[in-house]
Amino acid sequence: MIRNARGRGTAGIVAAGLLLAALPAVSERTYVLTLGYQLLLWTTLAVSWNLFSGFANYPSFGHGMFFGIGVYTTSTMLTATSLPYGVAFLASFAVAGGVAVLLGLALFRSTRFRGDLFGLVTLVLAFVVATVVSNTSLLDGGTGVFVRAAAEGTLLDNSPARLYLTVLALATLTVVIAYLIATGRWGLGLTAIRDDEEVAESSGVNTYRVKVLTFGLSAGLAGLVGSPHAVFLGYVEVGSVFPLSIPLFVLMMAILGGTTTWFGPIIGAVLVTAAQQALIGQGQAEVSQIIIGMLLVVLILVCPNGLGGLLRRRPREEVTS
Amino acid sequence: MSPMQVAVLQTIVSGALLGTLFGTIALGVTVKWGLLGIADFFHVSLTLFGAYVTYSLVSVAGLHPLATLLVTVPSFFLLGMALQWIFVRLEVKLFTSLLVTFGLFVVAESVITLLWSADTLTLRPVLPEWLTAPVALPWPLQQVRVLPPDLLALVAAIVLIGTTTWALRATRLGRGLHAMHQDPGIAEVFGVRLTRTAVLVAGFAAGTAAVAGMVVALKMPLSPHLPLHWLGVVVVSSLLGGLGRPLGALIAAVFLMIVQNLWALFYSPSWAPVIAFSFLLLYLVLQPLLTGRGLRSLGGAA
Amino acid sequence: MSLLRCEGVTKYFGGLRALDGVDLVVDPGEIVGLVGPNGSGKTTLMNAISGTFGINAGRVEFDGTDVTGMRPHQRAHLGIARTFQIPKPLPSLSVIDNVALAYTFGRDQVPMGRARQLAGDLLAELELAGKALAPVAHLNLHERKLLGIARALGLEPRLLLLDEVLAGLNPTEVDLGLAMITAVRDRGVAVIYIEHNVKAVTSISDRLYVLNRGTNLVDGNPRDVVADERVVAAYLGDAHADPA
Ligand SMILES: Nc1ncnc2c1ncn2[C@@H]1O[C@H](COP(=O)(O)OP(=O)(O)O)[C@@H](O)[C@H]1O
Ligand SMILES: [Mg+2]
Repeated sequence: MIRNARGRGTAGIVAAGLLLAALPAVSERTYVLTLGYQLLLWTTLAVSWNLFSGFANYPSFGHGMFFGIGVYTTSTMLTATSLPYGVAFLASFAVAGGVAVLLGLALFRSTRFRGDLFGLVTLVLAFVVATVVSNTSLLDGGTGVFVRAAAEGTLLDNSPARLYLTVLALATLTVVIAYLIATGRWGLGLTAIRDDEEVAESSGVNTYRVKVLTFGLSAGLAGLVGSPHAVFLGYVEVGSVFPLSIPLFVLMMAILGGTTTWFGPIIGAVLVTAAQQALIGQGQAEVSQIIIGMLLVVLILVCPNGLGGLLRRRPREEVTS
Repeated sequence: MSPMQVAVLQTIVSGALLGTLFGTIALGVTVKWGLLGIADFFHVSLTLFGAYVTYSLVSVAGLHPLATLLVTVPSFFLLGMALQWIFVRLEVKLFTSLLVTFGLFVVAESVITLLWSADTLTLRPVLPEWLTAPVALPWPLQQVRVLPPDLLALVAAIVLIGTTTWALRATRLGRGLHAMHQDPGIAEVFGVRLTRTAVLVAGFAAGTAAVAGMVVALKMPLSPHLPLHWLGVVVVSSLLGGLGRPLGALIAAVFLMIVQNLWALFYSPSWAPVIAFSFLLLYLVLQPLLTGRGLRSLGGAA
Repeated sequence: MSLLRCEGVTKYFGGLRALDGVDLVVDPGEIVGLVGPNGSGKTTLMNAISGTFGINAGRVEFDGTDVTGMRPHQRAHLGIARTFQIPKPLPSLSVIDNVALAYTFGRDQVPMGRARQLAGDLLAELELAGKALAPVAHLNLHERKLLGIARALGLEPRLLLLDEVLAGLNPTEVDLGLAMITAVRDRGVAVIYIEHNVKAVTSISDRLYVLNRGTNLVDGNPRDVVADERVVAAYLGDAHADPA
């Protein structure tokens, strides 16, 4: 028996993950597994973004970049070295998280870097990283990287079921982390930072450390899920790994679902991904891109505090400022 | 002059002229961001949209390139006003505006691809000779050649940025805008009509995008992902020049493009896009040490 | 040995000299009143002591440690706690979590469950228990100020900085507040008490400092200080609207 509430909550999330693990046994159709993969991938991205950017209200446009760093770390290690996949997997976390920690160490020295300025710097950095990747022949060099052959015989082995299970495990891990943070001491500190950093600091919160570490964790998880995605893509190229639509969708999913809770971004990710898949099923990809994008834009305009805020009709409480 | 010197001079001049185009695009961004509190990425897409419309009007409808302005400027003006009116109505905050216009930016690429295809389109074959033949600069730069659309970019920048800078300082609307930026409540007491001012300014900004779009259509081949390459330079020059100060943005854009072109001449051109960003990062790190006013309005974030 | 020692504290805001070589000493367990006309630098001195910003010259020493270069949370861990002139409750947190925050991130880093327990006890003492689970939006000014004090006490401080905590309250609330400050002092916590209302602060202070235009004007026994003609002059020169 697990006695405390957080233990029970964690067990519940893990149980839900185990339940979803039965999917490959139910259906082996690639279409079903790929749909599940997409849902879980976006869930992981939105929930991990929210850990820092939502809880502490530091909206970052760089989550797609950290995800891409994870993709390229894995593609490079699989093709250029003979190390086992597990090493590439962990390295994806370490490199993406490491970049974020370095960035955080530099940016969070001054509290100027919040709001639109933090968003901009992270966006700018995403451009820089994409340029570096496309100009470095070890990583890509502008030609793209074939990962499929290198992934053969590894843990993932290009199998849809294994890819699905890997991303499921990562989604579960990310949600558990978000849940534990949101319901614990660390989350209290992040919420205090969100509300008023000066008060947080004078109440004993080492805001610098909390921000740097949480940003690193958030980015690391995005990099981690980038690792199986390199194998999923099979062929990795800058244009499809670093598009602006990834950070855009992640932000909108989290904001629509609600950034103050651990589960809000799950709702946002599932709704948006489902809508996207349904539209893509209708035919022209370009048209569905436009419809989903406009839908998100209108929703954000109408309810900048998320769908929850719309339903509850609470008197204005700023989510983003 | 030695060939090398000519090449360097040529690079500097074309860089500076390209900078004036980006300065014109940045005009709308810096005014809206600095004075209306709207971080408008979509403005960059609107410029390309203007370029495509110009393309169609010239190549399909057979209009004179300059005559297209009679169509594009008023319609863009209305579009800009309508968008701003929605923003005012919904009391959109700075960060929400950033997110929304970023979303529109991403959507716009798909819309343009859908309407005009992803292929590169160019007006060059249908343009009259006086718009395509290189002209030599007067002494002492007689060895340097420039293209007429580049001179058009220069003229557009001087006219638009000159007028705007003057209007912000000297007209009732300009002073009202500054007052509104400082304190909307007080501005209203002194008779500034907030919604009307904001909507007019946004309409004007969109109108400048139409002009810049016309220059773009004459100057370069069009493809839907161009805004992605412009965004960095435009945003960085707006920030470096000091938000709300078009002349500052123009100077920054000219400087950035000269440096970027020189870099491309001597080193690998593929690294050139990083130049603008490096300057921004450098500036952001050094800015607290300088007493510059550049990012003043960003400090607290709305 | 004194608990807090400020020497020559100087702070500029651009060209404005908000503090110009201010000295201040607080001994353990005493209430030190800090008064002065509006804009004389009282809040700025409090910010310099709590570490909100760096100072341009001078030094701040707490319990024998030089804390001049330390960040606010480090000073909070050493035992310096503060309130804000305009109360700043954290709106996303319930009343009890506003206080639990200080316990769990304070010197002892108490685990969450225990921190909430301690916070509940403290709120009960301050007669805020009824609102413990309410959102802070439901608090009135008096309760917001009390919450600010509770959050500061949650750090289990040795020095408490109070910035005009009684301004804007009615006479009954002021009397209750003064009694509470005295009770805090009686537990062994030293207090620097900034107040615009000189009468209130004189009644409970062990010693009184007067600042004027960012410098020390007079300090000493409260009764002697308020009778000092320089103090009278500074106040009359400042605002005849508020003779206090
Ligand atoms: N953050 C700040 N930036 C600029 N000036 C400030 C700041 N804080 C205080 N000041 C100025 O410093 C002087 C002292 O202010 P303050 O310490 O708040 O006075 P008091 O609390 O005694 O009324 C005032 O002139 C005030 O305007
Ligand atoms: Mg004060």
